[in-house]
Amino acid sequence: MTETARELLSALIDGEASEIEIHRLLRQLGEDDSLVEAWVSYQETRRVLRTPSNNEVESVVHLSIQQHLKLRRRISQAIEKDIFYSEDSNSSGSALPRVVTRPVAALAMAAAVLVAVFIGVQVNTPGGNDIVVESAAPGVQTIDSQANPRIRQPQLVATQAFPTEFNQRNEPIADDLELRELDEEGRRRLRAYLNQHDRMARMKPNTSLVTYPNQSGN
Amino acid sequence: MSHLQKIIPLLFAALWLPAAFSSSEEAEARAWLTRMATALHEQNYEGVFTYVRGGQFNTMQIVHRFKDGKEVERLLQLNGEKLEILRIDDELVCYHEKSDHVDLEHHVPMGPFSSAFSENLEAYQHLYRFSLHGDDRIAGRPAIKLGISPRFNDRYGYRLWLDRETGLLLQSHWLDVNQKRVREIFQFSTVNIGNEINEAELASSLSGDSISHRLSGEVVSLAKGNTAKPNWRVAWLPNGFRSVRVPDSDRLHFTDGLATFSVFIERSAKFSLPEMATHVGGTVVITRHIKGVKGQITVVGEVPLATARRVAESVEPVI
Repeated sequence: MTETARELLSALIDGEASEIEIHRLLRQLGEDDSLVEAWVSYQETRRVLRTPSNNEVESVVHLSIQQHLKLRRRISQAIEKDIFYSEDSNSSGSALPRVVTRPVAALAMAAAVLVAVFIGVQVNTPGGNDIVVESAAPGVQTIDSQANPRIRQPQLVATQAFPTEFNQRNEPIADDLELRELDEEGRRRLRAYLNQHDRMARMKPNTSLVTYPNQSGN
Repeated sequence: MSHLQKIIPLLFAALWLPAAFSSSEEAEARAWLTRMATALHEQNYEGVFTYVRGGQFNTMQIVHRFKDGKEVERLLQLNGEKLEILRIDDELVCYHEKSDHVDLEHHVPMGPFSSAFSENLEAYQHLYRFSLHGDDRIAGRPAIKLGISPRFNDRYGYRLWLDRETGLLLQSHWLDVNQKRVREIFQFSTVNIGNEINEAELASSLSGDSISHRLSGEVVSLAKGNTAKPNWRVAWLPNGFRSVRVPDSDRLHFTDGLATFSVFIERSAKFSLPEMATHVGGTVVITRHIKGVKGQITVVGEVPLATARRVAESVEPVI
């Protein structure tokens, strides 16, 4: 796990992660067990710090890191198996069956990881209810059935788990790790996309334009 | 008369009056927006404005003339590289000071000019709510403040400050979904409206020794009958968005009248970007690979990340 990922987790726990950071973290959670471990560990630390010494913590059941990982794997397998075909309807009303592609599945899996993680958070919260704890291990079935067949459902669950307001930061290109890691060709391509989009957005919707030579020296 | 008979009309009035007031306020806001569109086209004005978006901060001088049904506009970037944009109706030409390092692939720091704000926004009331927010003062001129709020959370909103006398746009804020964070600011710091503008004020100050290029591409309007079969389709669009142009089969552009986004399809894996979801200068960028197909989808636009992601997920090849 990189230092950046660690900072991202910390920001998320503190409710200071931006929309972009959450998206990034979701993706990484689906691919990196150490992130899940760190998450659980952070939450555990947080729980201990927040729990008054005279609280009845013995009545609360905890999921271990291994249980979290196992839960995540089972959710991932279930989603992988079941959501490859989904049906989505567009705004114009036509419903078209389509293949759900791997990035989407990965995102859904990451979201499912977060569902599992948040169940863990709920489990670890003093005063959390035992029914949730009991359903956590076999709870795979419950989440599985939520995830199927529409991929948006696990994403929605995950989204709801986040605070509704984020401390969103405006990220200039140099401060964004993903952008900084782009090679020269990647930067050139991204810039070309942005400029093409910008220029199209400047034109009036019904304008018909013709091709001009790209450059002329005066 | 029983109490009930007295109360019913009062209740009715209590329910009806706010709705009627709201409706009349919305109608007044729409009337102001129509004035704004007309003023942006048909007023003479000149001044200096700032345009802030993401990490970009531009200070521009603008001279706009409307004469004999023709618009001519000159924009001069006052900070950094000397760059000038000349617009004659819909044709845009950009002038750069001649040097060894001229970058023609630059963004267009025009603020909201020549884009959606000069269109008739009244047509978009099924997508946005229009509201009035009292008076203010911008660039030394009395202004009226308007709100444009999306009816759905899948796009952004605006606050506009219009000149009380002419309806010209003096300031705008582009707001996020929660209407709390400003993503773009445009503001006149000085402006003169309604004065005569002569030819010398519109002449390019760089034309003697400069490099020029037209800010337009290979664009074919759908309305003009582009019959080429697309290779890709976007199966899900936010409500009200429509395809505007199809410049070529690997580029798609969409607008709801105010917001825009573009979908780029790169078929060669060699030129693919890594998987990413980010903001660059206030514009969202999200990429995804398509299962079983070489290449990549990139969505770029002025829409929330969740909207862009859903659009990206819905792009599929036309079989």
